[in-house]
Order: sequence, then structure tokens, then C-alpha cells
Amino acid sequence: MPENNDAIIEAKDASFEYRPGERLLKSVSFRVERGDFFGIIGTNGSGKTTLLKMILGLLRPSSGEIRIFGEDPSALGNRGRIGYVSQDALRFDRNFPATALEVVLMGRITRAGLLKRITPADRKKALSALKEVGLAAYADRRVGNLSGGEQQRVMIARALAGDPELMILDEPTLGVDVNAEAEFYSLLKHLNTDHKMTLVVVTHDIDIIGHQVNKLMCLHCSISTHGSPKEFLEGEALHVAAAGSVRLVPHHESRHHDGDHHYHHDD
Amino acid sequence: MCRIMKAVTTTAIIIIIMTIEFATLIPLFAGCALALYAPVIGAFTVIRRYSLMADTLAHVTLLGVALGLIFQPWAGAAPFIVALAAAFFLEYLREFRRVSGDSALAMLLTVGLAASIVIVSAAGKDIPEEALFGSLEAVTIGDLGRLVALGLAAAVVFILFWKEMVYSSFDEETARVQGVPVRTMNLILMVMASLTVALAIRAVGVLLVGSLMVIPANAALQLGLSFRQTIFWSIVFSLISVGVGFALTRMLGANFGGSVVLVAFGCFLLAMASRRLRRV
Repeated sequence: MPENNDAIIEAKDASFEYRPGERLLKSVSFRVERGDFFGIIGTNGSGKTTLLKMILGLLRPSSGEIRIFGEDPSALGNRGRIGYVSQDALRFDRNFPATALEVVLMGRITRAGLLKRITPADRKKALSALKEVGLAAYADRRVGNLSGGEQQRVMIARALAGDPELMILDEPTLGVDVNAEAEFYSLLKHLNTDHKMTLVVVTHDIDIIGHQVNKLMCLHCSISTHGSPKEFLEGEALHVAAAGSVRLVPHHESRHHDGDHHYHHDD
Repeated sequence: MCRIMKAVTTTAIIIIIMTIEFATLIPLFAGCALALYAPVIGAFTVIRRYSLMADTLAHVTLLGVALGLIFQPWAGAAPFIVALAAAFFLEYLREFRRVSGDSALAMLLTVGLAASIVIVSAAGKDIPEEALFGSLEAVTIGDLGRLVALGLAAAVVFILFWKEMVYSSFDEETARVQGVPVRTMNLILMVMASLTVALAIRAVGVLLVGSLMVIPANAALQLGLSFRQTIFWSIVFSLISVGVGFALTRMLGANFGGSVVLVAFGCFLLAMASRRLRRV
């Protein structure tokens, strides 16, 4: 399939079941285009992380298809094109003997290549990534001694250091305090607007993400409403989300309960 | 502080060399060769919260020693074969999360010991004490050669895959996303650990070999330094432990493995105290 320059991620009817019959994700279709700030929301257990793992090539869809840069995610040739900040990024051992700079340098691995050593140019790149997230002064601090918000920014710097075209963040502000969370999202906004970086952010927190993203996909959201999807979209419930010029992308599942609307498809 | 430590180590080694005949120094050289790379492997197992791995491999290797007692022609190879098999099995359990990491280690550790006892007792033999506690006299020039060869192999592996090993130890999932061959890295580390353990048990014994890999790394971790500095200090602590342990063995006739472990633990306590003083 020739690579479509504007489609960074394309999912067509992607489903995932852990065991036959136990379907977690059902026929998910969406498209992330270059320059998008794409939000994915959904409650716990809605399959957000599973969807991300399929995008990253860590899991394969049971049926349907997902393409990233026009390629099969698990066979993606150049993995340096993706920057990833995992949900567990902050779960590392606080005693892990690494400085902030050493952690950011890990992000250069794919660009440096297997069997190659880290060069002064890699080091320079890592330092400028730390500067970008406002932590240049903390380069030699042990990463375990930084605050949650700072650690999170180190992880962003690590992803940035690899010069990615696409950054994927899974619940990036889990365990980070509210102030740091707001700062964190303005950093993401900056990356998206000033660096033209495509971002995919998964979160359960619609309040904050609604103001930032330009596309929002709701996964297995069973939001009770008595009206039509159109009325729902115009109603109060998603007012916050819509405030930041958000385009909510509704999706109709083949079978859904009365009054429940599932959103996960581009219109 | 770094210079003082180096000076102390060098002086200690020179004094030992001057007072003892060269032929009796083979075990010391073997110990030093081991001290140069065992703590590096140990440090990786510690930061992966897999500290019991070396101990487990050692106890399973005892099964190899036991098998060697019964099938004499295989006495040399059996510990290595069994240690390697255990490494692959542990990695399988870890990779597919059949059981939690620490349970896998705890199980295999006791199973290794149980199988050794059953086999040896059924054959009407005893597990030799030197397999359990080690003996410097058992260390031959051949062992020294094997330790140096493994050390060189480990050095090559670490030079080639250093950054990949550090990344997979810090954050396995992200490393995988970035295309790091995490599984291969884990396997290489396990294989190196199992070979190191199989080689080291002759000198320090099954019961003590784990601490040789783990305590110097933990002592270095106490210092709160960068990754590179932590590795450097774990090697320094390991060399001090082997050097002083050897001196104690020669002067007091004490058990070598036990002395090394106690000195290493002394280093750990000092490192912990220094951290408190510096409030890192």
C-alpha cells in the first residue's frame, strides 16, 4: 500500500479479543492525519491501552487493519519515527541509577542504531530535548529524585530526543499533580503548534484534553442520553470538550443499547 | 574519594603479591577477573528487581554438580549445561508471565536444591562441602582461563549492547516500541549470568555466589550516582571484597567465599553511611 502522506495512522474495522468471544474492541475505525492533536478518551477497561498497543505493533488486531505511516505496525521499518510515552513510564524504580540526561539519551537509541555508540551529537540532541521541556538544569540529577511532573517531562524529552514525527502518549499525567498536568498539556500544545508534531494522547480525563485536541475519539463511551447523537453533541454534556474547537468524531456501532451512543469514527 | 579507594586497593594488592608466592595467587587472579564483570551482570539483575536470579541459578547449578558426581565423564560440563537450561527456563517464565518473577526464582531455587539432594542421596553419595561453600584450592589455572575468556566475552557484549541493555532494564515496553531487541538482550544477560555462576561456584560455592554479584551492586547503588558511575563503583567494591577476602583467607585460614561476602557487606554499610552523611 503506497504511503499516504497525510495519513499517519489509519484503522479500519480493527477489533481485538483476548480470548475467542471476549471482545474488547469492536470494529474501530479512525484516521490520524499529519499535524493532528488526536485525543482518545474512554473509561477504564474500554480498551484504550489495547488500541495503543495495536498502533505500536505490540499487539495484533484479531480482525481488521491498522496502518502506521502506511505500514503494518509490527513490521514498521524505522521505529525512530514514533515517540512513545507509556502509562507505566513513571513506574520505574526510584533507585534506578540514571540521571535525567542518561534517560533522555535512551531516546537516541533507534536513531543511533544497533551496535553503534552514543556520539557527542546524540548527547547534544538529548540536551536540547531536555531544554525544550525546561529541564536543562536538571540534566545531571538522578531521575528518581525529580518530582512526578518533572519525571514526566523527562519522558517527553526522551521521546523528543529521537526526532519523532508522531508522539503517542498513554495516560501521560497519571500520578502527576493538577498544576503540573496543566503545564504538561501546554507543553504538548506547544509541540503540536510550533513543532508541527502529530500527537495521539490517550486519557480518561475529558476536562483537560477537550481544550487541547483538534480531534477527539471516544472509545466504548456509553454516555446515556435520550436524544439523537446530534442533540447530544450540541448538548451540555460535551460542552467542555467542544470549547476548544474540538471536532468530535461520532461512530455508530452496529449494535448498541438504547440511549447509548458510541463514538469512535470519523464522520 | 575515588583516588583514595584506588590507592587502597592497589596497595592491598601489592602487599598481598609481595607476601605470597605466585603459584598460590591463581585463585586471587581468578577472583579479580570475576570481580571485574560479575558485579556488572549483578547490577543489571539488581536494577531489574531480579536480585535473587544469581542465587537461583547457583542452586540449580548444584543439580549440575550432583549429576556430575554420578555421571563422572560429564562432571565438568554438567553444571554449565544445567545453568544454561535454567537461564532459558527462567526467561521463558518471565517473558510469558506464567508466574510472577520472584515466585519463579523462589520455586526454582528450592527445586534445584531438592533435586540435587534427592539425586545425590539416592546414589548413596554426599554433596561435597566445597560445592556449597567453595574452596580456593579447587581453583585451577584452567578455571582462571575460563573466567578470563568469559570476562572478555562479557566485555564485548557490554560494549556492543550497552545502551540497549540499559534501556531494556529501565523501561522494557518503551524499549520494545523503539525497536530494541529486548528479548535477545534479556537472554544474553541470563546466559552470561548463568555461565558466571557456574564458573564462580568452584571458588565461592553455591550458597555464596549470589551475594558476590548482588552486594557490590547494591553498595554502589547507595551512592546515588549516574549509571556509569554506579557500574564503576560496583566493580571497585567487588575488587576490594575479593582482595581483602583473599588476604583474610590467607592470614586467618577463613573461608574465601564467606570472607568476600562479609567484606562486600561492609562496603555496602559504608556506602549507605556515606549517603546519609551526604544526604543524597
